[in-house]
Amino acid sequence: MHLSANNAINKQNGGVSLATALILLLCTSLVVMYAAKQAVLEQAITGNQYRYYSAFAQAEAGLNQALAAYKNNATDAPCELNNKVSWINQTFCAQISQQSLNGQTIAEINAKASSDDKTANIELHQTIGFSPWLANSSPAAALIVAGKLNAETPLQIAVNPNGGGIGVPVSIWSRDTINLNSASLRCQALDLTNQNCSNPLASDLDLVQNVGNHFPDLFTYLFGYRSNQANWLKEKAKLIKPEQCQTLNQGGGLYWVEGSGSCVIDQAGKSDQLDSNGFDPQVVILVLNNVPLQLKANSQIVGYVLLFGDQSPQQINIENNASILGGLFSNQNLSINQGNSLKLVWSDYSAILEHPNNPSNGAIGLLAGGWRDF
Amino acid sequence: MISKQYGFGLIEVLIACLVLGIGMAALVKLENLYSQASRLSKARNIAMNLAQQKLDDLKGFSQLTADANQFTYSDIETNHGGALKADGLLKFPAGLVTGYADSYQLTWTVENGYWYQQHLTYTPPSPLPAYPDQKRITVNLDWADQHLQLQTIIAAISPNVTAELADQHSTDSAIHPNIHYTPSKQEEIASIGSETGNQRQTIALNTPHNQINAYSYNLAGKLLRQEQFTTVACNCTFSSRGPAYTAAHGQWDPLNKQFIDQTGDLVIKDRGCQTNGIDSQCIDSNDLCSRCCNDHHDTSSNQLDTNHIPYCDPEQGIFDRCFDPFRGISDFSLGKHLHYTANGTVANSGAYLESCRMKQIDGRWQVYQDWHRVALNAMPRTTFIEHRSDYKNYVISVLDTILDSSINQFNGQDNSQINWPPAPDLFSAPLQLALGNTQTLTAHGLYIDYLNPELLNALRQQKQHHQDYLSHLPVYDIELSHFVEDCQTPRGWCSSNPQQVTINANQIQALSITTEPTHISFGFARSNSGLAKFNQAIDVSLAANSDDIIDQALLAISVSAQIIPNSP
Repeated sequence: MHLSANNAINKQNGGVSLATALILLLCTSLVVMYAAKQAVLEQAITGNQYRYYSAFAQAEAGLNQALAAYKNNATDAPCELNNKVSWINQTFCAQISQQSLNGQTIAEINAKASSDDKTANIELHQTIGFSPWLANSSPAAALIVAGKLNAETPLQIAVNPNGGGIGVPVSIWSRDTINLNSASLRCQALDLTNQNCSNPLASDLDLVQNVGNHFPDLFTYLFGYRSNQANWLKEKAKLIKPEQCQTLNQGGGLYWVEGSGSCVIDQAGKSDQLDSNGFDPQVVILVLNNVPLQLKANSQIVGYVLLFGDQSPQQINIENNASILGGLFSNQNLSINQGNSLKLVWSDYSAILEHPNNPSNGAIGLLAGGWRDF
Repeated sequence: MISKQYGFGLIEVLIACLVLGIGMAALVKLENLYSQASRLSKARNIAMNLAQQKLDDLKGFSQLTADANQFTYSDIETNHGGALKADGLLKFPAGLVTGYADSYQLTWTVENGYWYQQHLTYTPPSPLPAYPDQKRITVNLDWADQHLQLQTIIAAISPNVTAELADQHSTDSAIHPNIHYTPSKQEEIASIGSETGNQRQTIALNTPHNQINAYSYNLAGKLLRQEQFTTVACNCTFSSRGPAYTAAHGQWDPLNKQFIDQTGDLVIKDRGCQTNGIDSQCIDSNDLCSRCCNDHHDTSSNQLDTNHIPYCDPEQGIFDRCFDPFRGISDFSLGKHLHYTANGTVANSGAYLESCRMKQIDGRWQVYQDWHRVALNAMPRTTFIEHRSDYKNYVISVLDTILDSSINQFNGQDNSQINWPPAPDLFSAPLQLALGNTQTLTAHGLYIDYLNPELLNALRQQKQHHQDYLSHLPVYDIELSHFVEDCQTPRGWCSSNPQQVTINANQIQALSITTEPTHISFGFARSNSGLAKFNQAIDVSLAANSDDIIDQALLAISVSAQIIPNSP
């Protein structure tokens, strides 16, 4: 009995120590489980964050691809295209919508991306605006030279009817003297179109040479940047080599031509889109950086040409019957040689160039404050 | 001894320790695993941030074209590109990134994307553009046996353009060439001047189309404005309704504070076409008459522009875009001015006569609103030349009378309220000639355009504030003598007594001593266009209009036997 009583007590004592051990174990387990929970949570957070970063980068990819597509006039909807691209098991999709704000056109890109498990969904918006190619989309004359003009080729010039003020026509504006072929003529644009250009361009009021009020810098006059900031314009332009001048008949745009050889032109820009709403041309703006221009027989440029650089005189060689519907400018002395005629028709493209509404008539840029991620 | 048996048994304690030991060992192992996972999480976080940092770094290019001194879009290549430190090295270069619990290997790959013929390709096209349209970037972070990557695309959008969108261009672009104007030396041309020194000269050119040029210039000789217009008289016939232009007209530009010409709107309205004057068949021609016949019809009074304002509704006092605001209200029907046949009867169909004033706006001839002849004076040429300043003052007094009057608009109805100043006696005094003498005459017509309420008000404001108003007032003083030819009474230079005073063109000669009042008349068909060659078509009815068909100025002549001293 006593023994059995002792045994019972002994048994009880062992149970207590075991129970204590188990309680201790339980407590430790709880601590460990808490730590485990924390660790799992930490991993989940890291995972979520990675998926978010990744989806965000994808949405930005969508935004940028849409921008690149838009800048290149891609007609394919970027959304469909991008859906085919799934290079990290994620997809992105972007849409572009154009709208008008206070008379200016803006476009909004909306890009979406989500992680593969669909837990991270990102939607980004970016508003883009258009910066005009030209600061002055109605230059004072069809031929402006910041130096001497020497034209062996007979010119036929359609004046800017308001080049020197309201109703004050200007045909050529030169900082220095003008030497013309005596067979040169001036008239209004319509007369030239109707083959009715007959007034001699000798020393008319609208031939402006050697008089005051000159542009200090022709580059600034045309584009708004000083010529030592020409890179700013270059940034907006498509950079091409002289041999690519032959491919400018596809539409409008700003081209910066640099390299060796001549820029030979057959057709640049388009003017043949006449409808009931009037003249709807596609205008090219060509900046030839120390590149001579050669106009082929019956060639036509719809837009503006600036012969730019430090070579003087800048050279234009004409085969027969070339025409420029817009303007020809040179920041050095200019020499126009050969050929039986060069028609320079002052044309007002301000309607399409002053308020650009698509990437063919202005440079696209991101509008400040135009980004949001909701 | 028995009592020694009380307390914990070794076995129980051992078992308890064993259970606790096994449990703790497992927990320690687990804890170790968890802390490893936690370290990995931290490491991944760091890697993620490093990857994101590099992506952001690559997006921060300053321009597209390459430049050795700055980070440009062209520099973004595999394991190249990014912001530069002062020493010219990359701030976040590819390679080992240390300073953390782990060391990370940072690398990135760049694939060039091109939009070629409106499709995206990652194969370089030919010819190769100066830079790719977009760059696909994969940033990789490797550490221990772990790997993490982030991918995005960067488009070739110049940050300069973004900056420019918020900026203004240089003002050099606003410069225009100064065109120097040398005022006409012709003595019969008057320059109408204002207080600021701005002057206006109107010169009639003896061209087939009666071309008239008006020049506004300042005292330094800078040409401020040039106007070129003409009047044409045409044979027309009614054709079907269709697209035609409303009247081009003058208006005030409040922004630049100047008078400007506004072209008409293209609307659907009544039209005419040019005929050969014999039958009513339309002829195809490209001259000014085809435009005149086509456009010179008012819209009906209920036809509104895009701002819901009627073009022409004389009954409501709206003349702003009527072709002829100087007609009487009875000469309009449903807002449209009437047309007349050569017999003077109203024409609603078939042939009619038309006169238009055409003006060059933006290099094109536009059918312009008709004008009004305010004064007509014939006088000896020498009188005009010697007293040109008196004549200028007279013209200015006529203009001031309009501005100082209470009229709301200057049109055919309201100008009857104006008390016109008479021409100085000097110009209307009888001309005294000695027998056998000759004298050259001159005739000056003063014309003013319709002044709509805004323009009239703006001109009054300019005058009130002593600012230039005369060069913004569409006023034209025209020497008219070569617009007329031989006398065909009442047109041309005519003598009331050809036996005593003859006139050949604008030269008079005293043949004999006048015995009765004799005068020279100067007349021409005025028509709605204000000025038409005296034997050409016209388009107004004498009875119905405030404008007469024939304009006439008279100059009394007396011929005596001797030259009278101090005669003009």
